[in-house]
Amino acid sequence: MDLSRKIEILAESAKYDVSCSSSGVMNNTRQGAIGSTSAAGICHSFTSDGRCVSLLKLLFTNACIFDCHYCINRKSNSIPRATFTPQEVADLTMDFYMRNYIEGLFLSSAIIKNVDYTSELLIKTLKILRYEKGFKGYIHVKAIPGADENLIEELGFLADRMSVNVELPSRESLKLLAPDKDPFALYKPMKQITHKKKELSQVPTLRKPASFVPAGQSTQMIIGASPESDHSIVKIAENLYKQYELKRVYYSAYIPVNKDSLLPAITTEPPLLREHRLYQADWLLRFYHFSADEILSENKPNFNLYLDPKANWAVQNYDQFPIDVQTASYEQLLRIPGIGPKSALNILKARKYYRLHLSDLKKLGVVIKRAQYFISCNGACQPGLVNDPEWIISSLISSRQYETLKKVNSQSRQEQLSLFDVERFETNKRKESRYAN
Amino acid sequence: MQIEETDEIWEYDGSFYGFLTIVYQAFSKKTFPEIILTPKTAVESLFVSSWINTDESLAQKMYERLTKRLRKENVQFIIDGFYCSLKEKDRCLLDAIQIALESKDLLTNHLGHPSILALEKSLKALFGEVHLFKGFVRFEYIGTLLYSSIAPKHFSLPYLCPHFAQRYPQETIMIYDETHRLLGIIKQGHIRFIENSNPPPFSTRESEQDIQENWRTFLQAVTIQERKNERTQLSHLPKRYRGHMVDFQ
Ligand code: SF4
Repeated sequence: MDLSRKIEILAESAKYDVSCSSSGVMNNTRQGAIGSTSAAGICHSFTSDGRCVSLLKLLFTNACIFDCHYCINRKSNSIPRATFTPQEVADLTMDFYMRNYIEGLFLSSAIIKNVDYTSELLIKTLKILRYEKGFKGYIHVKAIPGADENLIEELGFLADRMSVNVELPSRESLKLLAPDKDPFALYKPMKQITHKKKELSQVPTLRKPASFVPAGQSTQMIIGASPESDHSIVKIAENLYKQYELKRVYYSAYIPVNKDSLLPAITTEPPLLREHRLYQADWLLRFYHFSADEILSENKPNFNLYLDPKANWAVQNYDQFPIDVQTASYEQLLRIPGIGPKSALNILKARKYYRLHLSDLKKLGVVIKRAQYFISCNGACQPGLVNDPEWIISSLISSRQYETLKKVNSQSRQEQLSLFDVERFETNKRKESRYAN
Repeated sequence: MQIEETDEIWEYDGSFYGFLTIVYQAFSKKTFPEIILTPKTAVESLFVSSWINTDESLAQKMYERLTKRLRKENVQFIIDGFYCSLKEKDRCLLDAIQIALESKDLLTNHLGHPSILALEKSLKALFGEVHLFKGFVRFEYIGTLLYSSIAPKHFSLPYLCPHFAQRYPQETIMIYDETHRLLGIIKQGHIRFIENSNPPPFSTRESEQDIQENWRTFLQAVTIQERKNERTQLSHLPKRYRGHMVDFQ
């Protein structure tokens, strides 16, 4: 098969993975003669779906021995298959890098023969790039869950970022929809990478420390292929950040690619708005000191699709407002809709020397239109404001916004329920667990 | 220092040394002109201007004095400001220099002054373009040389070259700026420029076609039809960059 056909097949197969961006490596300590990594992301192109292209994103092979239901590459699909050689991937990366098409390589793979063999192929590719070609640029590689620890470690020394995709947000769904995968094996490499990084950072060295996954690890979850609530997804993300110090959790709205009785119908629209809300919630976890249980709860397990999670929280907890910006702590300020980390800091700085006035807030970067319902300043509130939560909600969303949101929202309340045949899912789950026990 | 604002119009050759000569004149005479023109802008203007001859030794003196008296960031702001595409940049820069001489503050803290605000805005546009070009420049091999041509709106090339010098430390690279007719040459990390240059007469090699085709194949393959959104694409990658990108050919 010629190279261009392989690119077609193996880039196409990799495109649903969203967990790739090239930023995050500050000091490049890698040996080599070509390339550099940049802390700020550089986008080299944009596809007509509007997504940034910064990395050569490829699957090493799509000839998978596994049969995950949600995956286009599963063994039981009849699709064209292809496999690169390590040399081909390395050459292609260099060709593209030298012409400034890409910032680096994002290499993932289906499982060919077995997990160790697959890992060895990835290692071989990276070795050619690093040692033979002297490539110092960015490499993100997938750790293959279940592979030998030594192989994972070796890969970690060659890559800038590694990721293990959780894919589905619960063990049950994994068992059902990715029957060949061992849910425990998924978390093992994550843990191993976290430990190794810690261990290396504690070793006192005179020379620069060896580069082991300097840009950290990330993961991806598919949203909408299985029936988990938003609450459980946000909870998992929270755990991943805490336990494994993940750099990023990515969420990918499931695009039905297979006809499968366990999955949403092939005509189902990807839940893009839900994905968007998850990213917003993710921000709240990482930069706003929110906990998962504050964002959503067992009783309210799903996002308000019409209101962003922060505003939603504020309206639900309206009794805690208004917060006085003259006296509030940084953490409290961050809770106010319309105030971000930057404007919160600005407020802290500014009020040291001056008594703030409501009219100063705009200059400090506060989005008054959103914040006005939730703030006071030296005891004074914006005059003429109604403080009825219902009314606030409707004024936070303009009617135009509401209409556009309604259009993007592919899941109406009913659809959200009928997305999966919950009953069938339950019976299957029961059947499965009978075998498991 | 008390500076007299006059309604004079000065004109100079548009070079950096020429500008420094203007600065020298303005501060030694203690008068600021109302308008400063260069041969390029003078065409559009109906007014009669007095021509200021570039004096390299005076300019050099002025430059040394500025670097001694101003903080580093402010000198940089003024140099960058000279290269931005603001129409009345020269006049704004005189204000900037005066403010920088009078206060030790960062110039960027003086956004309340219309000249500083205008300069800052224009600098943002310049640096924004530089950032985009870091990704959008496309090279091809001509023999062993990496070549690219671009048509920037702003004077981006000098800001762009260090990035590529670092990215390809062992290569010889040429980038031609069609708008300003400026050729940047990077040889193993060292950068130099040729002004008023014509584009080098290169023709693309055969093998580059294959690689470019592979790149287009890749872009096509990673596009997700279900998420098609050309408006977002357009806002991130405006049309004016596309003419020089193999992605769109
Ligand atoms: S292991 Fe599963 S998810 Fe991965 S490529 Fe194979 S079938 Fe797809």
